[in-house]
Amino acid sequence: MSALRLRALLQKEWRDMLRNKMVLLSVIIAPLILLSVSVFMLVLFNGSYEELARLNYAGDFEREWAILFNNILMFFLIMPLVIPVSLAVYAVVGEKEQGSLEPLLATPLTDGELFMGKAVASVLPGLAVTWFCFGLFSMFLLFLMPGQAGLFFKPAWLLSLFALAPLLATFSVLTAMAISALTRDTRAAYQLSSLIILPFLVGGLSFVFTQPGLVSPVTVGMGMGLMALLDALMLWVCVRLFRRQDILTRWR
Amino acid sequence: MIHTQHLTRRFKGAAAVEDLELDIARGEVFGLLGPNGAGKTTTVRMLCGLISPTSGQAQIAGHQLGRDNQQIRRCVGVLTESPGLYERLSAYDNLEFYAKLHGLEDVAPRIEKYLSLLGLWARRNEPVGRFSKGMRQKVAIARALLHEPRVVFLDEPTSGLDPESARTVREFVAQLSRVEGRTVFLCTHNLHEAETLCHRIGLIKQRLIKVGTPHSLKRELFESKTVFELAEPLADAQAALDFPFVRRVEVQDLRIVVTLDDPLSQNARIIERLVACKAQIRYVRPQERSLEEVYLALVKEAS
Repeated sequence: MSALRLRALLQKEWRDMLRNKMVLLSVIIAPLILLSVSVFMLVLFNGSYEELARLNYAGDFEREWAILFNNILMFFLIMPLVIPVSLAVYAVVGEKEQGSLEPLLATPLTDGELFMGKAVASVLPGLAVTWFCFGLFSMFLLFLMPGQAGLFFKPAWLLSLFALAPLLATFSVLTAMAISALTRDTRAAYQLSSLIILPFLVGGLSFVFTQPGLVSPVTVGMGMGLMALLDALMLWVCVRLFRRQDILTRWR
Repeated sequence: MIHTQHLTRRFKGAAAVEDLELDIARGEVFGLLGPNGAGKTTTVRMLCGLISPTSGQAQIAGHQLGRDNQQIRRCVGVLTESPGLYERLSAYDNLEFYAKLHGLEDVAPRIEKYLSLLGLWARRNEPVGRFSKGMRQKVAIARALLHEPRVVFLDEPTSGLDPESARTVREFVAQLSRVEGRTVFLCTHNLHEAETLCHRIGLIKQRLIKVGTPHSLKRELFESKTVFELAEPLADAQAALDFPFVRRVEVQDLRIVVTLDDPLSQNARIIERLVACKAQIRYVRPQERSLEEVYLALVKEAS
């Protein structure tokens, strides 16, 4: 695997992405919406919390804050799943549609380099935007309710965001790229990816991260192990599915 | 430089290319002609290592097809049927990307060289999406040559270009072989282009029908005819030219078309006889056959 060729592919992918307004919008809009909803939920819950505290509410506030923060954290795990899909879906089928796949395959670039380069080029922007939004949310939290910040910055959540999220994003991207290698047009690739990736991963995350008891360093670590396995499996599937000869000769 | 033995590619049992035998020398411009679906693009894809043959072998620049595909892709340049450029990127960015994929170090001077040669240096920073078809084709040609490959495959290089752009491209291709000594494998439907650029031409329709220089193909296919244009009609030209080596005499007003076995040695005898018959000869020329006639005759024969 050549680092020079990988770097060239990354540079090209990002240059192309930065000049594509539709893709840029898709990268920016979803995180903005999720961030706004998170801040809104925080403000709303903080208002209720103050009101209940004033009325001497006897419930378990820590558990309720944990449920809220789990929901918010889930948004930050959805972001790196959703954002790169639109980039990854275009990886193979987009190149084929604009006729650039054949000249690309006529270079010394290997299949592994092509997949690795395209996957990294799709994962990193999603993670960067997610972590940027997480930074903004943290600032809001520290500014609005510094007293609750300790409940939010827990090891399990930080581990989820900085270690589990890249693995989830990689799985989502590889799945989208496998779909991209199988389908013949971008629209079909988008639809299939939406059908397969989003319900499966978002549904799973929603279940886990709305159960406060399930989110611990141990369960997150187990999740990371599982995702690492799934990523390796999906990379293998991708390389097996990418049959350059079929793509060149059967697609018109 | 390119050597193939029984190269065959089948798709679902149907032969796209069958039993292809080629020997192309270094610095040669070889043209592959054939109707749509004759297997030209499949041949190029096989020879570039993009698709593997069903059977047969090939060596490209000393590398074995199949075993050394990675090395083959390093030493060949390919102009595909469509330019296949990244339309949002500039011409410079497109070329820079491919230069890096080929591991080139002196990227900037090479890009400048080829964009200048093709007249696009001034517009290097514009997105390719704003370029005309001809300009895109030129960028794609620059991309195919950037790593200075020993073998260049050009699939329809002037397709859809205006006459001026087509001429620029043709001159450039001729220069590649003449000045730089590169082997050029040209697929084209443009018979005039093939005739002016190619040292040899191969006609393909799944199988290679014929290979030869444009001149030899014409000579092989058509009888040698000489046209004698007279100032005044000659009475009974048939009787006057009754030589044993004359195969046929066709009289068309002031023009006499004579079919000969060996015009170079026999034309003088005809001229002597015409002068003896008091005919005023205005000019003598061989009857030209176009490559198109050769092409159509061969394709018809193959069908």
